[in-house]
Amino acid sequence: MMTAHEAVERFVNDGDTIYSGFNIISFALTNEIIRQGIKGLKAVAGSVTPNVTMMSIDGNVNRIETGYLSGTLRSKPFQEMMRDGRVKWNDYTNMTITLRLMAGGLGMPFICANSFLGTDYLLEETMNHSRSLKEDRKREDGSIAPPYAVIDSPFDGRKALLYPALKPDVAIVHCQRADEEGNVQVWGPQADTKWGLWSSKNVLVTAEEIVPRSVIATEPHFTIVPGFKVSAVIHEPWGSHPSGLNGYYRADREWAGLTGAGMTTWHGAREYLDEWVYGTKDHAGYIAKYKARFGEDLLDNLRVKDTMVPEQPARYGWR
Amino acid sequence: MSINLDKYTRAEMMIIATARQVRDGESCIVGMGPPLLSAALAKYHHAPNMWYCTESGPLDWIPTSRELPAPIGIADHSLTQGSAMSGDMVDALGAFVNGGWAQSAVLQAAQIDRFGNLNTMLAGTFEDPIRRLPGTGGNADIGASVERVISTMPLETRRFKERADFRTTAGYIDGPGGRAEAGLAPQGPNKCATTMCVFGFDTEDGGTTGSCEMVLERLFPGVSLEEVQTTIPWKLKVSQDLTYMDPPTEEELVLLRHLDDGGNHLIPGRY
Repeated sequence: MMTAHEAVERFVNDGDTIYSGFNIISFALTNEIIRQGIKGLKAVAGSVTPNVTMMSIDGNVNRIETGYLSGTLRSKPFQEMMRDGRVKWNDYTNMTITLRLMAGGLGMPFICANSFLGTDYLLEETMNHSRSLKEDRKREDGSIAPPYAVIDSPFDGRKALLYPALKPDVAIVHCQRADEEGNVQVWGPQADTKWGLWSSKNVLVTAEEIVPRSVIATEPHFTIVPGFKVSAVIHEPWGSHPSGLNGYYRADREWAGLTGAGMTTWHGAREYLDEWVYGTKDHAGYIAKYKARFGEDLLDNLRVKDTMVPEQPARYGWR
Repeated sequence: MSINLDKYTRAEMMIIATARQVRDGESCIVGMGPPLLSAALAKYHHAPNMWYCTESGPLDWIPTSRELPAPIGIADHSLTQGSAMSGDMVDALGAFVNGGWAQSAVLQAAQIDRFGNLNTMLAGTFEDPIRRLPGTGGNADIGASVERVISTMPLETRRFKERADFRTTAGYIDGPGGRAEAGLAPQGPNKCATTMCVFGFDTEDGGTTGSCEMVLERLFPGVSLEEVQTTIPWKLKVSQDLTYMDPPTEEELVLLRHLDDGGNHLIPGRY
């Protein structure tokens, strides 16, 4: 257990590759990375979300490997940086990024999928466009490795595509609950989360609730990575606000309009960061400020009130 | 509730025409945006036993309440209400789609070309982009492996290209034999439902024979053949069996408006 501040200070370094997931986003850790001025991160995820847009404004993130820029392109500053090369990237897909993380997690050098057969992803001008991540793909002899490669299968001669393993330096994620050892429990559609955590060297988790080990142990099927894989667990209620958390709260659709977080202009983006990120000490401070400014009801109304209760809970037993 | 059946928009007709392509009992992978609405309409209307799956992991969504609107995103929390399985992307796109268990896909795209290839990457080129788009998401993964693709987009000249500015998702590639040459299995019968009509593709066997070109099959009520032809920038093939599609039924329109209550899908001004 530690604070988000301590976790980022200890485990996130300039230039790291960072996994920040597809659907359970730790805005608490995102904001802390921005506050601490970490620079030059490479964000990898099946889809990158508005938290990556936020991290791009002051150069916390300047490289991306993803399948989908989810909402990110609404930001004119982000589009501008993709054009002039301040942000560099290579395009993949939701599944191939997830499989690349899986390969990293399984200790494989690469993984096979057929997603790009017959498409323009295979053109030289796509793989090595002028803002692509060629520098990151430099081999020891100075030549540039491709971002993926077509081979003839040695087994049946058919065409197949190989994608290199991804092994991020650090993962950030929010979860429903964890215990003090860092056993992380997540439910709901998990997208790329499990493999993002298994493949990353250091895993930083904010948890909506900290529960005793006994709670974890009665429902071990919800644990997506065990405690020894986790470097930091942080208790952070509303840790994924303004995005949602299944069973706890819905995404806050008022947020961007109320705070100006649409990031459509440089001025607007800087104003948002100054007021809501640099202008708050931590996530609790951010939530307190949000409540003070817009009223308690706004967040309360997002809470899920009608939760499903298991009709017949899973039973474990041993004698 | 009684509604005026003469008053519906072309965007609503697009959603309904897309939904009508979805068959009861089939397994379907549903993409972001209007496809979520079309597939939900199909499920509520004529395909209750369709397996409604999205790529972030919900497998076989059966909403237990008809009060809920259609899911807004592929990880919408409402997809866990009544789902048989709450898996992840390796389950959904990996095992379900690439493992060969998805019989159809409903996908949106920014562009489609003469041979049914989809583009969700960019308009222009990487070096001189007119507009950068979000990227493929799971469309490329799906297009490579699914048995049949139902695509949907408004009929506009900038969206219908002789060759897509960027092929993110393989259709019939350059024509007959294109899929086999690329290393992909046959696919079809593919359809593209628009705001004016529904297109099919000229191939009986999923891309080996026939011209594999887009063919106009159904016109919406009140739309002329000429209106469609002048929007398409190449010489469009027209089916010998060209017919008009039935207008929306009251049940379809009432369901659709309930499912999109709030206009999260058919965003006013965009469609």
